[in-house]
Amino acid sequence: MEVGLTHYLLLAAAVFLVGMVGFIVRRNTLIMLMCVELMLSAANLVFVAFSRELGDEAGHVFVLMNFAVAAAEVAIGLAILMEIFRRRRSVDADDLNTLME
Amino acid sequence: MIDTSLRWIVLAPLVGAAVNGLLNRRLPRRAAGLVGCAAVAVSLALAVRAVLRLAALPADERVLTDTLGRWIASGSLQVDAGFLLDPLSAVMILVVTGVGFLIHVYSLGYMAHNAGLPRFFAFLNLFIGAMLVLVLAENLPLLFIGWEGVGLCSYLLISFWFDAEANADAGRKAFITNRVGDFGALLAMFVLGVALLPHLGPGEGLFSFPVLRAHAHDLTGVATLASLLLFLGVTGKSAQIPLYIWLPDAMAGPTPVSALIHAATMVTAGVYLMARLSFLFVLSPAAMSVVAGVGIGTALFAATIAVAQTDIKKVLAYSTVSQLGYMVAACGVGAFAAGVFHVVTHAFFKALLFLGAGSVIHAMHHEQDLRAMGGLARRLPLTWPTMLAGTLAIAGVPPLAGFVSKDEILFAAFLGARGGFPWLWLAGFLTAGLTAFYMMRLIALAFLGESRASPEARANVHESPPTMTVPLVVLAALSVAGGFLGWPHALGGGARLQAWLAPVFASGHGAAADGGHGSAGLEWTLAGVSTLIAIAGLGLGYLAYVRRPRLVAAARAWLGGRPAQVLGRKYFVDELYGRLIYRPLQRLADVVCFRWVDRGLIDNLLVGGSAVVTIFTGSLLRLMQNGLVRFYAWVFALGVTVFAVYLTFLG
Amino acid sequence: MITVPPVNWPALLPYLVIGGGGLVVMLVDAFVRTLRKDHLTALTGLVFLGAAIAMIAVKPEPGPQLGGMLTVQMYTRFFDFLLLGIGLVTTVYGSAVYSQDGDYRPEFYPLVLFAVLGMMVLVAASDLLILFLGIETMSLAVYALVCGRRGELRSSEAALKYLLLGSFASAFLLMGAALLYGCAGGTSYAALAAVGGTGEGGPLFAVGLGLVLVGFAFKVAMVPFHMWTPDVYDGAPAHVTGFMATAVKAAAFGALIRFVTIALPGLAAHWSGLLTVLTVLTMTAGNLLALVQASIKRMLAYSSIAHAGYLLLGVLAILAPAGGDPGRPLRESAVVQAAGSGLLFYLLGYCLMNLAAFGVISQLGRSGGVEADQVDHYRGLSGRQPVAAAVLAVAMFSLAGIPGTVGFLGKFYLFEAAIRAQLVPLAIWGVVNSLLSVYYYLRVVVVMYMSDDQTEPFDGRNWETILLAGCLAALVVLLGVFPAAVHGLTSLAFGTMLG
Repeated sequence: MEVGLTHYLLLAAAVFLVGMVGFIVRRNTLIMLMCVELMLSAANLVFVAFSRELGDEAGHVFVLMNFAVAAAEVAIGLAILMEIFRRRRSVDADDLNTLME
Repeated sequence: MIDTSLRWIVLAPLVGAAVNGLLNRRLPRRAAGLVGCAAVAVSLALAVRAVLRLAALPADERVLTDTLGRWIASGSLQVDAGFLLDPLSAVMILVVTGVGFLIHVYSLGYMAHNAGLPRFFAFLNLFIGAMLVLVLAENLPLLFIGWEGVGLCSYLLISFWFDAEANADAGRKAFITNRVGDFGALLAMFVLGVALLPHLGPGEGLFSFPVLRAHAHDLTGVATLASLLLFLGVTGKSAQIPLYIWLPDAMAGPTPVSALIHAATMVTAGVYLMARLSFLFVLSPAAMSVVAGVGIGTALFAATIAVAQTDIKKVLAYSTVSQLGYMVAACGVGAFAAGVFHVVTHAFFKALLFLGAGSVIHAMHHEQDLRAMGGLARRLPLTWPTMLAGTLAIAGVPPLAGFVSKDEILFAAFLGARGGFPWLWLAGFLTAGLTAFYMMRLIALAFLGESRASPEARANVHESPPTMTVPLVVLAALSVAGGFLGWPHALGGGARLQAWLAPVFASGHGAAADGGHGSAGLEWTLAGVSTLIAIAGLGLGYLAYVRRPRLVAAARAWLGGRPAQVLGRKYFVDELYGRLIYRPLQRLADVVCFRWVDRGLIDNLLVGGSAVVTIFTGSLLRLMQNGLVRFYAWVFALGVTVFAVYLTFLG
Repeated sequence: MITVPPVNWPALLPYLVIGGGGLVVMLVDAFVRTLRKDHLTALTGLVFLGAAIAMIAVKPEPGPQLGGMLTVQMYTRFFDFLLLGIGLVTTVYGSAVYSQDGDYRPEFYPLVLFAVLGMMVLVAASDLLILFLGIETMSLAVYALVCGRRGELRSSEAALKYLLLGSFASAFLLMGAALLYGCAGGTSYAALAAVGGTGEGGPLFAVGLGLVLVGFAFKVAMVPFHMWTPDVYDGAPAHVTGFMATAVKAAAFGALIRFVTIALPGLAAHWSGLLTVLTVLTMTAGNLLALVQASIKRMLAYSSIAHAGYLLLGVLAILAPAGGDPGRPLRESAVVQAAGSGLLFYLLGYCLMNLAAFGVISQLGRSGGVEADQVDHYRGLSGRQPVAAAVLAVAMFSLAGIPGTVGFLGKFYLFEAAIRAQLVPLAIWGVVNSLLSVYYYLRVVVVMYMSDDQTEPFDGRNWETILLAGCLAALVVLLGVFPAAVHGLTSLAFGTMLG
């Protein structure tokens, strides 16, 4: 079987959906952050697949930039999470309920 | 030419108003008065300087402009915030700041013992500022700001002593009556805008006076409609039939305010507007006829009312309405320059008369009833001769100011009716006689004969302080000599004011403006006849109220009191408006508007209902804001799904 | 072989000044131990001023830079000045608050600088890559700014919520960009417009565009991607909330307007239905929720959602005529011009009035960093702090759209453009909404001027903030009375973007 663009896209869609659903259903903020990483990876996969298909390097560049951005995002996310954990001793998303109506 | 000092003419009084208004009680009383007077003095000085610069230019280039910037820019509607000084506005700013300054100085004395002095001067300054905006505006919308500004200030000042219900009512009456007129003016502006818009060239500001004038031929179609709507505004501001009713009540304010409203500001606005848009009015002979008819009708009508008033200020108030009728009639027959000339002379003698009346009231400890006066001539050595000068001027005794300008108007009215019987002239002529009569009556009742005041009031009569008498003397001099500004050619004068104004005005219909065609002989004859009727009126008044007081009683007995009552109650116009307009409207307002619409529909159903509905929905939506990130993400994902589905299948 | 495109340094100078300045401020804080606390404020202020001077002094040829990655033109310069101004005001507000609380936060200064850099780049982006980098630079800095009070749980919680949802939104944006890249064969706006214009993009292209717009929608707080807004605005320190309400929104709208006019015009017909519904929902939900708030920060958060709705009305007005006549270039349409310049004018006014309001809010408080965040805390403020009360009142009048303020004219221009674009029902709905909003804005004024003093009043803490907010309020009134010059400028700026 020849693995083509469609397969990459389907895989990416699956990973993206797993990330999305995971983000909604999981309560642990660390896991939620990881789910976002999954979604970003899915997007990277699409970029690389198209890049290969089109024979164009721009997609690769996008992916490299994206690594940096994702790393920065997680770094800040963990820093904030630490701050909260220190006070609350919990990383449960549903405990973030000081701010509500 | 550009002259950036114009803005300071307007701003000086506004700054004065701001200082007095913001600091208010924190300002010492003396300082408040000084700031108020100084602000107008600065404005006056700058106005004189600007007018001198203007006069130095060749006659057909006499326009100074000062543009502050683009004010409104919305599609093809481009309006500048800009001022324009041409011969017409030059005359107006000199009158406004000059007479206004004298009234300010007078107020120092008159209002000296009043609480709220800073507030008073703030309003006075604001009044002058608004009037200057009105006369210096380069376009209709800016003029309208001034127009509304003087309306607001008159309201504030008429009800200055607001703790008395009657004063507050008078203020409201002035404001509401003016609003009726303003509505007309506003509609006229829309009509002009709509008519002009398709013809506008690039870079031309809609509503700018020079542009309107240049495009006058494009406005022919709407000229009658626009002129009549504008005239509705004029009847409000310049107190013409049917909207004159506010002006007599406006005397509820302090006397300097009456002087300011009646002489220097406010009421002249309507005449100014017609003069400013003369090129529009002359396009419509029909509208001009209406203007002339209403003007002269008001003149005669108000003069008859003035005959029977017993309150010194009411007599003067109706005389203002009557004199304004002259000015409006002058515009109606195309003699715009004569109208403006009468604005100027009237500003002198009417300010004088009001301030003089104020001095009398001051002397009599706020007694305003003529029946309780008498014999004041000896007790008020300065007020008496100045009042007399004002009376002779308004009565039309040559060569005083009132004679010249009134004669100009009557002459134009006579010519305007060539071919038919000069009804306009006749009405004006009769009015002149009545004017002389009722003014003599006022003088006789107040100053001559025996005092009818109570003994203790009589003992306390005193002449006013110099801050009040000096303006009287200055205004008296102007009332005597003011006529020489525009002494007509036919009578051997230079007609300088008319020549100065000539570039501004379009030539009128019927009578060519300002005595071009009439022969000198005719003018001499008419002048002679007017002089005669003025002297006859004065003589009759003297006879009736000084020499033979029994004549009045006899006449009253013979007439059976009815006419006197009709005149005394001012033809029952207030009652008529009350029956026909006010009460039905009030009932309508109470039942339909208030009980059904306001309380029932709006309050209960719409406001109450919508408040319930909105707050209910708001509270429901609020439940969604539960603070849970995962729920937010869930809504988010739902939104994305809707997006994706819509774009894939529907888009 | 990679060819490096020619670099036009003068055009990039402002970005370099801000970015370099951010690094310098960070290093100075780390290595210069003898620094007094207010030196960083001055240094940051100098960086902002330097960037502004660089823009005034160096006038590069407008046009695409770095091989079409970003475009520098008057449109971007308009936003650059606006964002620099907001950055400067926020710096002053923030340092005043921190010095009041005795809570020294050196990281605040470089974060503001980096956020502004991200925003400027975002507005200038004409390539999806730069768009993504701009959004992320901005967002990462703002996440950290929200967490601006150490040890304060609300602040950290707001930051984490914003970060979680923000990165969730970024993932969608990135996926959208990837799909667009695949369908258009490139990431530049020009490539997107070329494919979009023919209408042959296919469903993947449409979904890609949708996902990118979801990213924008999150940043501008469009319903249903708005739910983070009240919590985050509430939890963040007031000066940061002000920064988010103004700068983030302005930058996101600046980029959105560019994106839809450059990359979307041919596709307007696909969009208008969905966007219309969301615009209506955004206006309405924002206003309805604002009505029932007791917290002034939450109220302003919902108000910012409602205002996003009014702005979206302008965006719709841009798209509407193109939808009617796809062949015609946008720049020839007077309606598009009117809508675009109205949008820019509105954004400017919106930033002025919100900054004025948040200035007053940020400087009121009690020791220990307790903010006056409830409407009730403003009872009788007019007696204690007449100037602050007047400033807040002007801001509220303007937000409500009372004539004589810039808020009124902004709405006037937007609704007028909407009517000219034949979106009459929407414009009417906008007017109804702004009537609704009068209630909650004026409630603040009523509380300040007509209620008795409270027992434990909040104190005003510094005059610099009030002075600055007062100047902004003065501008609100000035622009509300004399809009013509600025409106001409926005018209010109928008024109340069259309080309």
